[in-house]
Amino acid sequence: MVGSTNDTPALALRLARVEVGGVTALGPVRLDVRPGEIVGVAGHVGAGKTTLALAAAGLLGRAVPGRIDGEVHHPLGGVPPASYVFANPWTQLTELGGTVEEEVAVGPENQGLPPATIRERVDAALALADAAHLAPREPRTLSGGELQRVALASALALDAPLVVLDEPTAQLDPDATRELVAALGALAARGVAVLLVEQNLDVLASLASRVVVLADGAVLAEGDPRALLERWPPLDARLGSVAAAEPRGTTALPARAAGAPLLDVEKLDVAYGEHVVLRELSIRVPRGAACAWLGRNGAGKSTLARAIMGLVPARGGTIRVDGTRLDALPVERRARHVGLVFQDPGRQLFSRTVLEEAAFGPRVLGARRADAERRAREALDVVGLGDLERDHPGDLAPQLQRRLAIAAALASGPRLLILDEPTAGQDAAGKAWIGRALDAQRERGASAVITHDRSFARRYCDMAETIPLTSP
Amino acid sequence: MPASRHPPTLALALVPRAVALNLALGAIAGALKLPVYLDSVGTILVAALVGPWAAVVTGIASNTVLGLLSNPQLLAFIPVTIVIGLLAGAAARVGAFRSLGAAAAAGVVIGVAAALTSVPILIALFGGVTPSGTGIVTVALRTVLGLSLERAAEIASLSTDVLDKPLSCVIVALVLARLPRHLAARLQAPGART
Amino acid sequence: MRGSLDRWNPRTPLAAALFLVAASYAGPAPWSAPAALAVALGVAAATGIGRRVATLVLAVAVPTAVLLLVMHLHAPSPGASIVRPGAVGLDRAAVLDALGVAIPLAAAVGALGWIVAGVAPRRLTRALAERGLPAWAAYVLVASLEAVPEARRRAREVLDAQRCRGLGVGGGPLSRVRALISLAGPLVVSLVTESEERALALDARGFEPGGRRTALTPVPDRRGERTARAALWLATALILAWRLVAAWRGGGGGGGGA
Repeated sequence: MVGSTNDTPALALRLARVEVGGVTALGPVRLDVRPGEIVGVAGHVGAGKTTLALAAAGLLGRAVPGRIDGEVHHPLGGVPPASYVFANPWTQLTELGGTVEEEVAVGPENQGLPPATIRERVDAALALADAAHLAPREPRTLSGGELQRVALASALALDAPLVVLDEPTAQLDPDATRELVAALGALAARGVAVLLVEQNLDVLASLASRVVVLADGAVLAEGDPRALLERWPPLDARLGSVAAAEPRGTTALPARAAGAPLLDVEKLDVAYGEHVVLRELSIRVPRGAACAWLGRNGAGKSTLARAIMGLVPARGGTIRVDGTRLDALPVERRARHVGLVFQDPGRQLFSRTVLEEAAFGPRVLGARRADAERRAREALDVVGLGDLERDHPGDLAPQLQRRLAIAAALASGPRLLILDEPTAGQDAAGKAWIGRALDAQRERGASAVITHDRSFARRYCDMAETIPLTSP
Repeated sequence: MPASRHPPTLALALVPRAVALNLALGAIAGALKLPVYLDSVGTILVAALVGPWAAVVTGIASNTVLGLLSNPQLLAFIPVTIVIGLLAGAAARVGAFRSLGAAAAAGVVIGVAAALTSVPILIALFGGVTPSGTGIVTVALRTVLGLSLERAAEIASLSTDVLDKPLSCVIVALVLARLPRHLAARLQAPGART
Repeated sequence: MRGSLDRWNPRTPLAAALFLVAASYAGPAPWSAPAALAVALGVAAATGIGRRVATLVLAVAVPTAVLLLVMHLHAPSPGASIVRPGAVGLDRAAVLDALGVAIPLAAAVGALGWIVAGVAPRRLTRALAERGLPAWAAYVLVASLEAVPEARRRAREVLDAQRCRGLGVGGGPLSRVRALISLAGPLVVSLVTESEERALALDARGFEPGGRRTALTPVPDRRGERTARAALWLATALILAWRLVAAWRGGGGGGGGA
């Protein structure tokens, strides 16, 4: 790629103010990124990180509406001077390529390059992003981690001196995160300038030479990431609008946990056609507990949740929640007993207001409007969205949408709450709010949390179960 | 879309998703056992959000894509999708999607026009019947009531379209009111229209 | 899988298919349509997609012909009693009428079936883009191909998510229409919302809706194919012109289809 070793920065950013949608999204920021350097940007949800990233890449005011007071210089030039990788692995495909190789070729094709040059660019970019083995695959068959490396390769194929990444690991599991981190390290070693917006402080500490911490659109701190990390606990508290909830030790389970479990699954068999996913699985969640369900990718965690909910038929076994047998009930009847929150809240949002969205569940389950809204408000308060009840769900950041989906499930008052990967993309404060949802649920039943996030599990859950991977 | 001005990428990126809606909503109606196709919700949505020409592109693309993927006979009904796109665009210009009642009324007009456009195609290329529910209704009307082929085909087409299109327009009106505000503003900003 | 048609420049089978469609509907009766059908099926068989194309043809032509015959069986015409099925054979006119619709239809579907079964849509779009199809139009076609399976999958997910919140999918017509809105709504909103990120992805990669793009693997175009296409387009134009003249003179040629 670009092998410049001189001291000319690939990005020289001198912002006085950035306005998006008529409001100030970002205050004064000065930032240089030199070839071979990885500069990190951290901050809570809504701090202005994405605005900064879009401005640095030259997309703000062009592809996205917004007004910049100040200067964004790319002294090394390049056409384009910067490329961009987004947080969501699935929606950043252009869809113009039927294979990974074709998708990576889209940028050079747009530049009107001859086929031989496109081929060189594609091969080099795929190799650098550690995605060469994926070249012939269809993008939609890839995992999130694989897609994120394809997105990196697609950006690299533009051959810009600067690569901007906006929370590229937000939706990845730890293994995929490690692989992307390795690819980014290799990239900087080749002389590319990298601006990395990232929530994951471990990632920043291992990669970045400098980190800028944003809070409410202003620079809160700046410097060496390891030094910042040592000062992090107080920063962390300031970063979240709510202080991370008081640390929890190992919570002693309530005495009645020894009695009848809230969730009692006995010898559950689930198969998709010939492929057996769960074989004679027995699992319990005690009353008053929050249980983390761990397991490798491809293990039956999500399948277990879907089977409890009745979305996939069980071939055998029994499912009891609070003593009630669910196996024979249709999905919508099980909703009275179990609340399942999916990974992607976008699958359910269709209301004018946050309050209406949270009240949807109680309403379809038969509650009167006033009663449904009261329960919705209580649930919104639990996850810290009480002040936003009049907002439009679609205008919320994805992290807040996820908390809204959790509130919507809580409002229906299920005995068992199941959360599927709730912490992806959440900052420390967001995780604390989800922890509060688990607290609220302890009082009226129990929760199960499907997660890769072991630190969340240690901090906010009472116990952990590993769901075994069944070999077919 | 006029050749003089190219569509902005936001409007452009919306079109394939509208095409997909045209082809996917029928499955939801099917799961609910409702006798509607909802195969122009995407076209009508684009008409309301972007404008008539983008809607025409959506309609043509829907029938072309499904025509080239599985049912070549759909290519013959491209004129119907053009009529739907233009009329839905006109309905949007007069603000028909701001209330559910007006949307339903616009849907009736669109439904009648769609049915009347499809009948000559049906008769010229398919002898008045396609292997579908509408075709069976046509045969029934002709054989049981002894109606002429033209009249039977008209009534059969109308019977599905005047249910389908108003419902589609109502869905679009409901969606417009529930779109994220920043997005609706961007799509409808001057300069975003084609 | 796609047979040997995919080795040609996709514009060549496309031109040939459109010629056959024109011939079957506008060519001289009565032999144009059966001949076109024979060519459509023959080429399909020879290029290894015979079964797929035959399935497409049968799925459209046979039910249409049956519906037309049923209509003739039962249609009361003045002065004739209703013919009961099985009791009396169909008259010649009814059979000819049904065949007059079904054969051109079969020929047209068979010819377009080459494209459905034998040509990769992306390759076709790329070939058309090389001949001046604007980048935005190529994007609409190709991205729609990707978006359709994604939307179907997402429709399923919305159905699951809303049922998990207690939404019933049964009941009377009114409650099912309400359920429809609770299901269609999130699907539409999520797809519209997604457009924003897709557009940003296009912008970030320098996509220009009106621009000319090059290709990683251009579609080859042999000289012989170019000549064949020119001949096919000319023949198509001649057939259509002949039909227009015949119609203007009072329908001298007789309809191959309608």
